Amino acid sequence: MNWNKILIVYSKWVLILSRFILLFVVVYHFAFGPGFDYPNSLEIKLDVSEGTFEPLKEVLSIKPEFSDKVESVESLGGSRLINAKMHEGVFTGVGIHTLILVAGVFAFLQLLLQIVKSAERKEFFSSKNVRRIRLIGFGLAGWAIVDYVFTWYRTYIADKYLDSVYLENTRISIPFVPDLFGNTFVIGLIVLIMAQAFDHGLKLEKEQELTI
Amino acid sequence: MAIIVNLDVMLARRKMQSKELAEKVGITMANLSILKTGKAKAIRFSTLNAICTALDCQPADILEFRPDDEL
Repeated sequence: MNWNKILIVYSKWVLILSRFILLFVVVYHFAFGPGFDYPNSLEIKLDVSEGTFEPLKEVLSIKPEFSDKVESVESLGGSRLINAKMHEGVFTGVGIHTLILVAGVFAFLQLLLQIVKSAERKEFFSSKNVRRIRLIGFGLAGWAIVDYVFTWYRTYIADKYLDSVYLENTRISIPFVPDLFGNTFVIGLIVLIMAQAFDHGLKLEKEQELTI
Repeated sequence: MAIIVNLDVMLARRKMQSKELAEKVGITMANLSILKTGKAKAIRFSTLNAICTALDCQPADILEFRPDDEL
C-alpha cells in the first residue's frame, strides 16, 4: 500500500467519522440539549481592545425603553463576547444561522467524501467531481455572504436594544466592510478556480483517451 | 469532422481483418474502432507509422480531407 492510498483511505475514514459526529451532535442537541430553545439569544462581539476592557456592567446596559424586550445580558467567560437573551418576539436569526451552518457543513463533508471515494477509484477527472468542487466553492463563498448578513443583522439588533457607550473606545461595531480574508469568501473563490482547473483537466483527459 | 479515416477501405484492399491490424500495430480493438468510426481526436505519428507499415500504404491512403459542407 503506497502513501497516496494510505492518505485517501485515512481521509475517507476521517470524513465518515466527522459526518457521524456531526449527525450525533445534531441529534443529541435536539434530543437532550436545548434544541430550538435559543432562537432569542444574541451573541455580540465588542469592538474593544483587551487592555481597555472593563467589567460588563460598565460596558453594556439595556436601553430603558426596551427593558421589556431583553431578558438578560451576560459576559461569556469574561471575554469581549457578550450573550444577550431576548424576550420572545425579538427575532435574532441565531436559529436560522446555525441551521444553515450545520446543513452547509454536512453538505461539505458529504461532497468531500464523494470526491475522496472517486479518488479511491482513480476517477479524479469526472464531470461529477467538477460539479462537486463547484458546489463546495459556491457554498464557501455563499456562506461568507450569509454570515456577513447575519453579523450585520445581529449587530443592528444589539445596537437597537442595548446601550454600549459607557466606555471610551467601546461600541457595538457594524462591519460595513466585510473581512474578505478572515472568512470563507476568498477560499470559495480559490476552490471555484480549482473547479475550472478540474474542468480543463477533464477535457484534456477525454482528448488523451481519444488520441490513438 | 473534415478528416475522414478510410481504414476500412485499406483493410478490404489488403484483405486484412481488423484484429490482425490491431495486433500488428499494437493497439486495442476498442482504439482501432474509435479510429475507424472517426471518433478519434488525434492520431500519433508512431501509430500512423505502424498502420502504414502494416498496410503497406501512404498516410494519404488512410486519411482524407473533405470540407464540412461536402459531408
